[in-house]
Amino acid sequence: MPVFALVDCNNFYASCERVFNPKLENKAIVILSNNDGCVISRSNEAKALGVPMGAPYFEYQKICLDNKVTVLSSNYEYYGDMSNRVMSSLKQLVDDSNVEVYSIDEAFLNLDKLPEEDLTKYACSIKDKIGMWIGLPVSIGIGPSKTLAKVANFMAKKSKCGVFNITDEKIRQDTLASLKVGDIWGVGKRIAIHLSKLGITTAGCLRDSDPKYIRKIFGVVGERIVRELNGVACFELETNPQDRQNIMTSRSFGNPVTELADLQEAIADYAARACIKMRAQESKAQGINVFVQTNWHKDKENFYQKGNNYLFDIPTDDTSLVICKAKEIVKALFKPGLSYKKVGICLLSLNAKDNCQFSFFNNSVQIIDKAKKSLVMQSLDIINQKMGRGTIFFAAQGTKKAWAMKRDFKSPHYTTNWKEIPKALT
Amino acid sequence: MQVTTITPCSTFVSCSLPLYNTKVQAGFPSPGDDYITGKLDLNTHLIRHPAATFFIRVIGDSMRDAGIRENDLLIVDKSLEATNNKIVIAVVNGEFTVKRLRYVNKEAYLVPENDDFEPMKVGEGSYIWGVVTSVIHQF
Repeated sequence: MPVFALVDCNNFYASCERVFNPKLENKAIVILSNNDGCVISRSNEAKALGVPMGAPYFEYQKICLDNKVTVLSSNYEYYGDMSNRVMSSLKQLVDDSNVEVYSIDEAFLNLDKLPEEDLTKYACSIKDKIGMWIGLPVSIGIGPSKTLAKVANFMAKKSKCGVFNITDEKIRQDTLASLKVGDIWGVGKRIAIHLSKLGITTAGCLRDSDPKYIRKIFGVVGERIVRELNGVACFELETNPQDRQNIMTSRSFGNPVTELADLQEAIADYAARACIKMRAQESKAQGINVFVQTNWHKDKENFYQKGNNYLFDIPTDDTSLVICKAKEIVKALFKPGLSYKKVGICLLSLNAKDNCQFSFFNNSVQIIDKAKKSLVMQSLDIINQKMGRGTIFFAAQGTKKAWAMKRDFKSPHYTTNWKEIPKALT
Repeated sequence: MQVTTITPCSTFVSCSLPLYNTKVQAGFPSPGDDYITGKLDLNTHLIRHPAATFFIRVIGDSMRDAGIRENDLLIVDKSLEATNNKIVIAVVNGEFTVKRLRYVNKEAYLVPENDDFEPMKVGEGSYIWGVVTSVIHQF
């Protein structure tokens, strides 16, 4: 019988900030998105003050100041490292093949080899170990399907011990009767409204609906949710994530950009970042899409957004070539006199390195040249990995970066930068 | 000239083999034959549990007599049990501190290794954060 557990870090970003700053324990914390724009994580104390998720920060700035809320910019490098530690710990505890990394702070586990009576105790020990090893609090929900494990996790977050097991029929019955249909994984706001109109308001009602009927209205995914609520596992554990077909890097600017040179510097930087990700999954891009965009809010009348594609004759992972073509596209799209808010690049149709087809017209000299460039890229990646990101970068990426995103309240890179590791007083 | 067959050149597959540190000799076998040489890696030598291991920089000299000096790098393992006499990172008043942990009549104390400093009890709100496994001093 399948048994799934969903392990989810509580208020992940806010909890990460507490690990190396114990003074933040029990305090209200709010984490802001790129450019310090929106609220993307809150500690329970901040939630209690009524700061909603996703709210634009400026709307709640006064409440935060009045209540001495600690406001921090997102520290993705640090959160990414902490996430890796949680996931590798889970893989250590239940074995690689039984872990599906679902998001930066969630993972599904397969616990079908454990005797049923030991499940809750085992989940408690996982929670204790993650808490001790990494300092992060997690909640664990256990159920016979992924959807039910998610429901159980929702209940776990509200419980005192942080673990909830829904494999027992009676407990499941009571839980689903009290759960709103909109709180089920996969049921969005619009679908919840539609279901309510059909008289389906609780998870229990949805579970009791005819799966074929649900399929007619909401498709096969809807039917799977109904079956999963009934304890039939339709979604499997996915332990081999598929390589991405496209990689997009785009950011909004911290300060408005008007000069072509600055736009080109930004696109060079984003192109380099995207290429690093591409090489990490050992792919090459067949083409790129580059776009520019002005600020819609500041000037609706003159809003300008345009993109262009470029297709390579041989798929490439060479940053210098990608930067060169990206800069050309930006130059072609650039209109003087406008205030730009954003540029972006998308690497298209990524193929596994070994599957790349060569153009009929390339001669052997060109192919060898490409291979040499590939070695240069490999060396660049290895050096940057050892010495820190950006140790070697393309001059086109810029050194001053006036356009870089604002992160005024960022905490140190506690675990990824030697200069910023935590200090202890002896 | 006719093209008869087209075959791709074989893909190079690498296979790591252990490197033995003596040549094969006829006659008397060397006692070194059973030993495989390999590279020495500080990471695997000093870090047993990477997911739970963190680096911390030292400020101050209250642990001088334990060989821990200002600016040294500490390797801290949060998965180890903090037992009597271990050097630990503790949280006191929301700050990290390095001390030797001592249990006296089941009470926990944080003891410095420098006569200029006093031991302190692990009181309310203080707790052990992790165990120091190594100190790295660079000259």
